[in-house]
Amino acid sequence: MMEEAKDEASVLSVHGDDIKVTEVLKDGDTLTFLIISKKLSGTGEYHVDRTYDDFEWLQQHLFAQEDVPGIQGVIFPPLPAKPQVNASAKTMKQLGILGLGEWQPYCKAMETFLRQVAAHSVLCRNKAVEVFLTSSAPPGRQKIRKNIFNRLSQAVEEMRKEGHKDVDEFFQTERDRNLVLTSCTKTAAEKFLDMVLTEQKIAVACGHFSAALHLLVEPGEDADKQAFSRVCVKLSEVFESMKKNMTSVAENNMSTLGLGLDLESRHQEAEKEMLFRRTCKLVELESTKRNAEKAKPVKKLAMEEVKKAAETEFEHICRVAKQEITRFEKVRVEMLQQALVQWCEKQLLTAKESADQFNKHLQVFGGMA
Amino acid sequence: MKRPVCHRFNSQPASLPAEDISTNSNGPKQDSLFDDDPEDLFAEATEEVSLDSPERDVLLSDGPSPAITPITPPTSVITPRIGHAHDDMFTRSSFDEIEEEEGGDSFDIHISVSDPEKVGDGMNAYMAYKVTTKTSMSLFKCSDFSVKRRFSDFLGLHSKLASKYLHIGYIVPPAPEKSIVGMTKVKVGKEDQSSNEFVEKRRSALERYLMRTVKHPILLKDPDVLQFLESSELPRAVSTQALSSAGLLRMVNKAADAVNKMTIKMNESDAWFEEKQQHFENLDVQLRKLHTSVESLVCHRKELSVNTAQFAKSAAMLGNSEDHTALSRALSQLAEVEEKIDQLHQDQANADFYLFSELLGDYVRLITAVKGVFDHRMKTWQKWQDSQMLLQKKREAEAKLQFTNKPDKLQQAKDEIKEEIEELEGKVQQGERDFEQISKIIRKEVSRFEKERVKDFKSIIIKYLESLVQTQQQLIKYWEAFLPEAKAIS
Repeated sequence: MMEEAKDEASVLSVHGDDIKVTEVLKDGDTLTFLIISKKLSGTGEYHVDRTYDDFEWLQQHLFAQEDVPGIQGVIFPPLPAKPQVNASAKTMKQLGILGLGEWQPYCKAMETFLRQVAAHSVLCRNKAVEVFLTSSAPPGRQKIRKNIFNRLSQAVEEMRKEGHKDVDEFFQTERDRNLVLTSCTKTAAEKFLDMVLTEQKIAVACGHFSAALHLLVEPGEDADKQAFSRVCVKLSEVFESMKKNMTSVAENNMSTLGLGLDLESRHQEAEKEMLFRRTCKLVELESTKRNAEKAKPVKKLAMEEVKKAAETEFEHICRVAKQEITRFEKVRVEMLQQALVQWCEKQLLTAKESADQFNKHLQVFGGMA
Repeated sequence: MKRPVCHRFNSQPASLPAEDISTNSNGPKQDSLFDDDPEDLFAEATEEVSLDSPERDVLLSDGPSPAITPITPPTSVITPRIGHAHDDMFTRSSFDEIEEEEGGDSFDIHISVSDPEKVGDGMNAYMAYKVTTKTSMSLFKCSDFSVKRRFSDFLGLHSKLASKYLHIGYIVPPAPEKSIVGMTKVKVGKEDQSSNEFVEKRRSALERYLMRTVKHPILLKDPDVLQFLESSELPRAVSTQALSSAGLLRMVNKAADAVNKMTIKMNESDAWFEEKQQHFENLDVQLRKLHTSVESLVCHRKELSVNTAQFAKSAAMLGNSEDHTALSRALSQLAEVEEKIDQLHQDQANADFYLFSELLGDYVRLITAVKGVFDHRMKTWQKWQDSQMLLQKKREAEAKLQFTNKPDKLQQAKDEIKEEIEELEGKVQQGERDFEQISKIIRKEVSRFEKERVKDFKSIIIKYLESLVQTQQQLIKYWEAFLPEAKAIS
């Protein structure tokens, strides 16, 4: 067992943009992912098994980097929610398209998470990342102390800080925009999922109909009976093609735009978290300023110190946050574009294939005596 | 255009002089056919039909039964074949002759039902449909003509055809279903999508009904059918409640039960009939399953349309909230594409429904009529057997007469019984002929059904495939148009 990774700076020894999550093994509620990373030097590869909990371990380590200045200004790559057998309705809603039980999209989402971590100039330096990707032994399973990044632990009173007016126009604008986009993206992702679910239902219905048609096939040498049986068999093939078509359409949706919208939605949430952290810091800062002003001479110096520390921290956060926002904008537009282009290309290909297939069926029926 | 002599008749009131075709015939009850009785037999008719009601006779009678409205008898009654040994209506294949004699015309007729128009107001309102016939057949006066008909007219036509032909073994296509809910919405004046859909569904069903009817070589030439298609005025069909498709189905089921209860142990000397009957039972079950399956598909397809429209809206909103210009534009385009795709889904749902769901529904209903003729055959057989048993009894009674101790009355009794026996012998012969006739006709009808079935299914499937291909081609266009937009984002 590896010693618990210290939060030291390290250099990642693999190609961050080529990390692959190739497989997932399911054992009850435990999921084990196979991750392959290419070595920077030479042609070797690292093959490691990691459970979902290991991913969480990694994420917690990233959150816990309190010594990194302005760490709270980082938009942390979002980890997909944990899929469960017999998930609750709330979990299913949280999982969105990743809750459909299709493992390829889920693996892709985990892969994207790792690539984003590896690509982040600050985060990739955390030793935990190197350990996670290269160590043959699974990383430590000890729970890390809870930190402020765990939104769920935040008290309800903190929530009202969300609306606190900003001192910086740039950030106020960004907060407003993010609020709208978060909700719009979430809605779009949900509606898209509804579409995919219905497409799957149609595929199943076509499959049933195709199978049921075989029950109409009649034995016998009678010419008309045989003709009718032939018609039923051919029609069954038509519905089988329809099933294939719908299945492809649904898969294309899931693997491209579905994933894209899901990632975008989680990303917007991650930005929201960051902006909220900054706002909280702002509130804290304003509070220290007030305290420093009101302080009696005896305490004044101490209060000033506190105020200065808060100011510095806030400045760090704002600096990092601005960089992050710029980077975030670029990355998300690229990601969405890629999703849209891939989606369109795949659906176009499926449509062409299906048109061909249906045309072939049409020929068969046209030529039937 | 060459026009051979047409045996058509214009509709006459019920009191047509009865031409006595045969004195010995036990065929159609000529008297009741041309009964002058103005009393509406179905005045008390309701949807729920009891076993003993007159409607039952439509299916179980051994002859053409009194119909609701004045009917024109089948052509062969009016023009008897003179010079044949048996002049009974059904002893020879007189219907075959009609088919062969006027077989000069190839089947070329197309009927469309269109332009539904609401007539009147409130609960007395009804829909009038335009029935247009286009044909080159000499059977008709013109080659392109239209009339206005309402739903009860169609039901009236069907009831006439059913009363004339079902009991002799012809598979008369069932009329479309009545719908109280659907019609009430229309009457009340609700101009919404569901009442429009209802009217379209009905229009399509009426069209298919007429086409099926005229495809039948015998029915096509029936004077009532011709009158329905050509005549500008049609006597109102009253009391059509009882004989709607659903009503008929109920009656068939009840008749079937009645037949079963009578425990007809029919010596099926003909394995063909036993096999066919079983076959139709199976077919009925399978078709119903398929029909349910397609209805579920239609439902999901409509759901997909709704989902797509909602996604389109959310994509539009996302596009509006987006600051990045190119991305915003792409998202708005995406919303437009999805709206177009929604329309494709709706069109596909219509194809699913109007092509497949209705085809399967039509066949389920058609099989009801098929089962009906099989039941009639059983009844015909039973009647023949009953006559035979009665004859046997009379013969036994005749033999016993010898031992009556009233010699003066003996001769009279002997004469009476001799007369009865002669009559019964005639009945038995007629019964056998009727049975053979109905068996023969059913064989032909089943063969025709099986041929038509293949044609029907193929033609529908081809239309459906064309719709599928069309949808995919549209999609290709949409995706090809969207791709550059997506690529242009950055």
